[in-house]
This record gives sequence, C-alpha cells and structure tokens, in this order.
Amino acid sequence: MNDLKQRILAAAAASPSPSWKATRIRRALFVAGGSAVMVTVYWLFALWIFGWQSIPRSLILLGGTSLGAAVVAGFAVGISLGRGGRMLGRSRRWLIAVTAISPLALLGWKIAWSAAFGNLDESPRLGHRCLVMSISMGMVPMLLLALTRRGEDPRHPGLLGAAIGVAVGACAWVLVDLWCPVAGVLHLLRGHVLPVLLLGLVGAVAGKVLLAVRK
Amino acid sequence: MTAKVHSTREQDGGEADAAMDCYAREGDPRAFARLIDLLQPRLLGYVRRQLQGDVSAEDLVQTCFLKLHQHRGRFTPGAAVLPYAFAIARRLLIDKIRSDRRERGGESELMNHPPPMCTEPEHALAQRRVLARLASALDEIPAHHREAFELTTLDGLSLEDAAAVADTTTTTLKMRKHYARAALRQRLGDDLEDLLR
Repeated sequence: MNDLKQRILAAAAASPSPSWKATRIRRALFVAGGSAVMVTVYWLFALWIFGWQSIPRSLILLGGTSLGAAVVAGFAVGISLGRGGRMLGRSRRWLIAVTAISPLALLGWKIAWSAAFGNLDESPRLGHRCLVMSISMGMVPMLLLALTRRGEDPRHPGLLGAAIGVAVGACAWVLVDLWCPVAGVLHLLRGHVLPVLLLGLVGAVAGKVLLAVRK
Repeated sequence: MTAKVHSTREQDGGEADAAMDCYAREGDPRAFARLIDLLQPRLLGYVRRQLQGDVSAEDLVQTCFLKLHQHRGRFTPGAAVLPYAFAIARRLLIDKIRSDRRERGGESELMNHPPPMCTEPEHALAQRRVLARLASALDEIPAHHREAFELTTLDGLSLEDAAAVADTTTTTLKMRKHYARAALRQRLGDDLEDLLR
C-alpha cells in the first residue's frame, strides 16, 4: 500500500463521516426547524405585533395570488436545494435563473392576478411592515437550509447561497401575501420584492462562508 | 492508443462511481480504499501539474479524499464521483494558489511542469523536454482554454465531466478546447499530435 493511501485511510479513520441515514435525519430536522421558525415568526407578527389585516379580499383573489406564489416558491426551493442527480449540484445557469426569475415571477403573478380583480390601488403604506416581517421570517430558515449543504459546494457557493436566500424569501412571500391585502406596485416593490432580494444578498454572503469547500 | 487510454479511464470512472456508491451506502472501508486506488493517480497527476513540489500536491489530494469521506452521507445515489473529486481538487488548488500569492506577494505557484511518466532515464529526459515545450505553450494560451485542454486531453475527463468541473456548458468547453488545440498547434506544429500520442 502506498504512503499517500495509508495517510488518507488513517486521516479518514480519525475523521467523522455521517451515514446516509444520519445525514437525512439531520437534513429533515433542519428543514422542519426552518419551517417551524418561519411559521412561528409569521403568526407572531401577523397576530400579535402588527395584528391581522381587516380589509376583506375575495377567496379567489387571495387563493389565486397565494397559490401562484406557492408554485414559484416550490420551484425555487426545489431547484436551489436539489442537486439534479449530481454531486456537483445545479449548474450556474440554473442558480442564476432561480435568483433572477423568482422575484420577477412572484411580482408578475401578484400584479397580473390582482389586476384581474381591479385590486391594484396604491396604498399609503410604504411596505415597511411587510419588509420587516419577511426578513424576520426568512433569516433563520435560510441559515438552517444553508447548513444542510455546509462545506460541500466546490464551484459557486455564493451563488447557491443567493438562490437559497431567494427561495426562502419566496416562501416568506407566500405567507406575507396571505396577510397583506395591498397590491400596489410600489408597495410590492418595497415591502415584498426588496426582502426577497435582501435575503438573496445575505444568502450569497452566508453561502461563501458556509457552503464553500475549505481545507 | 489514445482511445484505449480513454476507454480505460471511462472504465475507471464507472468503477469509481460504484465504489463511492458502496462506500456511501454501507460505509465499507474497502470500498473507500478501492476508490483511492482508482482516483488517486488521476487526481495526483492533475494537482502535480499545477503545483510546485510533490509534498503539497499529496497533501491537497489527501484533503480531497477526506472531503469525499466526510460527505459520504450526502452522496447522491448513482451520481458520478469523478467530476466532484476534480472540482474539489480544483477549488482547493485555487484557494492554495491564492493564499500562496498573498504570502509571497504575487508570485505564482502555477508551474505546469509535469513529472516524467516513464522510468528509463533517456526516455524520461526526452519526455520531460517535450512536456516542458507543451507546458510552455500552455502557459501562453488563456487560462480557460488551457483548463479545457488539460481536463479533457491530459486528465482524460469526458466533455460533460470537464464542463461540470469548470462550471460551464459542454458547448463552451468544447469551443475552449478547440481554441486551445488550435493555439497549441500554431505554437508546436505537428509536434502537438506526437506529444499527445
């Protein structure tokens, strides 16, 4: 047996290597933990800190915008967290597509569906509450989801982190959309799109630190 | 002969995937040892070509295998291990070169002088000379083109695997390889084909 092989085997024997089962359990716990934190923070803000919005919306308007946003969020999560059957994960093009298209798709769907119901009136509210709510909901889940891929991306960890951040922001969008009745474009840009982009930005920084393969 | 070498390498790649799959599922140390046997020469050749000094190259390859070991629980069933191993080695190389540059004030660690592959002194010397010519010509072409040429022609990765390692599309990598070959042929003439034989 050559010297290098012996050294590798000795180093491997001294280093932990979680099994498939342990890794899956850990990943499931992180995803469940992230979801629980997001929902808890949502109810905390929606019921206690800001209070429930009393402006009525038709069920079709509410269901349509939320369902469309949920589909976009589902795609974003699936693409950013899935590896597409390869250890190297998604290519740069997929991750850029998720990061760039998701906020546009969410905004486009919300405007299009709301316009069909004549519900595009600007509100005097700037969207600060939606902004705070979305970022508070997304920060911890984003870090937990990034931890499921910790130290395993040798190619573009920053981009993967940004995609995860945007995907989490898209999930937060779905919940905030259930709470916020305003569909004015300026409000949506400030209160709904901006937090998704900010989460993507924080995700990019966190990704560089957490997801990169390091010695 | 080149086709035979590529076929053997593809076979090695398939065996390496199976070994990694077995190691990921069952944690069998013999599967990991087999994986080392299959990948170590190729990874070491790749890293040595980029780095000065065998000791640091071996350290880097060791780290690369350690990463595969630590990530065995995250291994995707049926996924190819070779591009992942090369991508890890490439990332570790980039980090090392950057840190060396910082420490030595901009001096590059890239060397591109591969060690001789045959053991007879005369052949080794002749081979070192021609490889030094190739290395010198490779130094003169753009880094992306050089990388595409090295990964496919010298390290024997398929176009798909090399594209995955270099984080680009197969079409782009194919074009880069084409440009690299054209530039090398311009510099080395017919010697290029002799060198690659």
